Amino acid sequence: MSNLKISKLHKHFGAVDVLKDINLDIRTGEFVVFVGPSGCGKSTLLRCISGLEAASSGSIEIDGQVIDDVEPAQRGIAMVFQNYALYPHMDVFGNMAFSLKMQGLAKDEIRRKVEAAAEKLQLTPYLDRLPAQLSGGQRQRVAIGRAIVRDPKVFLFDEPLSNLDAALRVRMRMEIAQLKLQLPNTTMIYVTHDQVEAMTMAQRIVVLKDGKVEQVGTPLDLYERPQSQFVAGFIGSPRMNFFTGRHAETFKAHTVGVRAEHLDIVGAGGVWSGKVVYSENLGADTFIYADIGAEAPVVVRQPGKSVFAAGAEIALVPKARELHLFDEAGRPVPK
Amino acid sequence: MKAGSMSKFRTGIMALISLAFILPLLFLIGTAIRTRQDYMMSPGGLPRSFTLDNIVGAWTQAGLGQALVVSLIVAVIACIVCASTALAGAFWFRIHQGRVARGLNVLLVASYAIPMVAWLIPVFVMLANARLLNNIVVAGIIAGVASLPFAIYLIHTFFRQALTTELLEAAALDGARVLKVFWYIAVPMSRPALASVVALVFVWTFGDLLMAATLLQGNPQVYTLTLAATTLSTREEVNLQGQAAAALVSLIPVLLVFMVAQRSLAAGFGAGSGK
Amino acid sequence: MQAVKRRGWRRALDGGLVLLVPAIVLETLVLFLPLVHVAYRSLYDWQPGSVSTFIGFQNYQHLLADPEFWQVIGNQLFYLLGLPLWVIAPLVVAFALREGVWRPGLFRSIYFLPAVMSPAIVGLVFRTLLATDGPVNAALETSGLGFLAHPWLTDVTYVKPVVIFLVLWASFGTGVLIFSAAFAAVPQNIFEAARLDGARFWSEFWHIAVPSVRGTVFLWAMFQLVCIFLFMFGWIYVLTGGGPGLSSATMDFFIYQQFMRFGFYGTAAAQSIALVGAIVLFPALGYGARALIETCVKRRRT
Ligand SMILES: Nc1ncnc2c1ncn2[C@@H]1O[C@H](COP(=O)(O)OP(=O)(O)O)[C@@H](O)[C@H]1O
Ligand SMILES: [Mg+2]
Repeated sequence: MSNLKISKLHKHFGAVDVLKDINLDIRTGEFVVFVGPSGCGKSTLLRCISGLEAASSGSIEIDGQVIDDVEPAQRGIAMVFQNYALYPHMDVFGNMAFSLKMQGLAKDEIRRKVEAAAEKLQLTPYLDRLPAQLSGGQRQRVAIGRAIVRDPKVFLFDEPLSNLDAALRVRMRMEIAQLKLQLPNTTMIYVTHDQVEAMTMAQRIVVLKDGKVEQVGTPLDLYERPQSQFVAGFIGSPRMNFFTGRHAETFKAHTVGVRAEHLDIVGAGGVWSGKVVYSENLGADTFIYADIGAEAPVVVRQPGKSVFAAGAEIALVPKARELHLFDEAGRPVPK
Repeated sequence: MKAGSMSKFRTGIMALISLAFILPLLFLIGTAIRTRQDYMMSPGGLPRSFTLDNIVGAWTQAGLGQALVVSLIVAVIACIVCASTALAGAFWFRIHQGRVARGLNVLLVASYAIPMVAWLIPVFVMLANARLLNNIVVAGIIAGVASLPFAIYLIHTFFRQALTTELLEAAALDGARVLKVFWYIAVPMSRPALASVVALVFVWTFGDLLMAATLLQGNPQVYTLTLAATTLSTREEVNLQGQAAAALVSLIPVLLVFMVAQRSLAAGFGAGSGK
Repeated sequence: MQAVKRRGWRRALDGGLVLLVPAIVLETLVLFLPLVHVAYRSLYDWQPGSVSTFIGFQNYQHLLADPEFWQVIGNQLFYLLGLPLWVIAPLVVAFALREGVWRPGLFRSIYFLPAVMSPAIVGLVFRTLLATDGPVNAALETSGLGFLAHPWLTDVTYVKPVVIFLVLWASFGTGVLIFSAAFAAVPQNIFEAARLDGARFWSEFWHIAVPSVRGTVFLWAMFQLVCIFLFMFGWIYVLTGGGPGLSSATMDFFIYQQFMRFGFYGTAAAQSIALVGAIVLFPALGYGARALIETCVKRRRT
């Protein structure tokens, strides 16, 4: 059964259309990531779900009930903000208790719920600290705790890790994944512009571009079967190589795309050939940038510490099954 | 930064400049605690005598004790009226940003530039008709309103920085309505801004002469300290030492406030200077 | 555009007009209505407590024909000459304070003292200090500088410059504080780069410091401009009583006198409106001047 259903959602700010005809079905307990470049409307979509922003048209249902006219606080959703939005003058307990206090719960029940959430997030020793006395990761956990105590049906995260340093980001990513395991029936929607976050955390990814849903699918789906050149280029690191012109004509397509890991280096007689421009050794992998006469150098991934001097001649063969062909509009061409 | 040799030179100049602020105070103290004969001998020289008679005399003769109480009441009323009204108004302006709200905001802040004499005349006439002159509560309220435009500006500036949109959204999601957001979030959060508003309004009201001279001049029982000290000194028969003593007494409360609230005062003045 | 429905988070936080009502009511009662009343009454031969007759613009005509009014306007314009001093002095000192001085905070506090002291009370002190037979002149005599002794407050030539310096004395600390805050917001490395380029104190001041806080400089100048029209009463009343004659009177003092002492309510009302006009006019001129300067600068650059 569907938990969150978005139908024909449009949103414009003045004359600017920010969201165009969004249709989504999200199941109860699912972890869905909205991903897309900055400014594509991810936050706006999230805010329409939360009720912080009103949709211009279309409707949103939770558990079969239309919530368009329901106040944000009554929608059964909770949100973790990018900058945490903790109340600076309240201690951790106060921050987590505030929504319960607004609901008018009894004091001891509030205490019980807050302490349970704090336990879950290892915040118990910090309950009487002010946000200013916490580290970035701890603040992040308070922001999550504040959402948990409300026992929401839908949990929304808007780029929650973008203010943390790289190491902490990886750790918090794991903690959020753990949290999801502890809350199997809570739907989580997570917004990020970082496709690595999307690939590692999501059960399903929604790729947005210019206010439209570009593709919905599991991480593997998107990686293996991108439905557009945009998705193909957005998902995966390093970025997929694209060729047009004579490189693509061989395959009777406008554009041909191939991932770095799907190119083999052969001694001679490759499909494409050229010179090594530069190579990057990352320990486990080596990335080789080669000029084969296309617009941009092609990236090839080789395992281990393969050595390719700049200027060396190189011949490449793509794995035929892993080629992605696109027409002029960026739509996939059947092979 | 490297403290070079210039630093001593500049420190010397800064110290010289501070003499301009310290010497008048020292002179005031010196005059208040020396005898009349001593002063007449060398008005510009150092005191060679010590007496508290001038201060005691000023205190009893001009009723400075009572004036101090009046001043405190007027200033406290002004602070309460001004801070509470400005806080609520500034918060409303923070959460309402439509064209009407913005227009009102400009209006309520720009009224800072309405000359005090211009509105004080009709207020005086109105109060005279209503028999509300020489009433310290009324004077306190009016003094509070006189500082209201500045206070609204200052607190609104603070809210625009500290009460972020994200925070308001979080509160809305937490289920708080306007009045609850105001009471549980905006009010406790605004302590620093509030402290500087209270300190400023206190200092201004305490030192004001124009409003006091207009609204409270009819009854020496309700003279404020500033009014009492200045009327004392404009009477010819009172000697210089008495004046100095009165002036000194009237400065002590604000100097105390200055020492206690120096930081927030400084912050308050600094806050308006952004950009 | 469709009917603007206030939805989203703003709807959840809509209303609460009750919070704004006190501010509106109080300001309307104490500031706006009285101002309107004054404007209205300035057209009458205003006699509180008795019949006032409508006399059109006669109060204004009297005003324009009154040499005393023009003298006071002249005083105000003279005081404006102090503006560069009031702006540049705290600016230089705030800059010097950030350039490596022992305990800058202490100096800032000392300079700030006048901001908390009553202008009227401080006026008293200076009236005594600057009296013809007062301590300043006495000290000058005893130190052999008798030729510098002057009747500071009772001589038409000296009284206005003295007031200008006293305004500097009173506002200096606030200016230093505001400029210090502005300098603190300027990235430190701009100054460091300038110093590496060999800039000395004054060239750093003019070429780096002043341009980087010019917004604050302008605001402070406007603030001082308004102050010289609005908040001089306490000083003038105690220090000089507007004298000698009317040679140190400001508009607010003059109006107060017309009204409280002489009971010329109608003329006082007309003067009040003239003062409001000045308060609007001079900052407007300031903004105009700034716009003009900025376009000139831009044109020179291109
Ligand atoms: N309140 C608003 N008013 C006008 N335009 C807005 C507003 N909020 C967002 N936008 C515009 O909508 C677009 C999408 O914004 P957003 O949803 O924040 O993007 P993302 O989160 O994907 O980076 C952007 O072009 C942004 O400028
Ligand atoms: Mg965003």
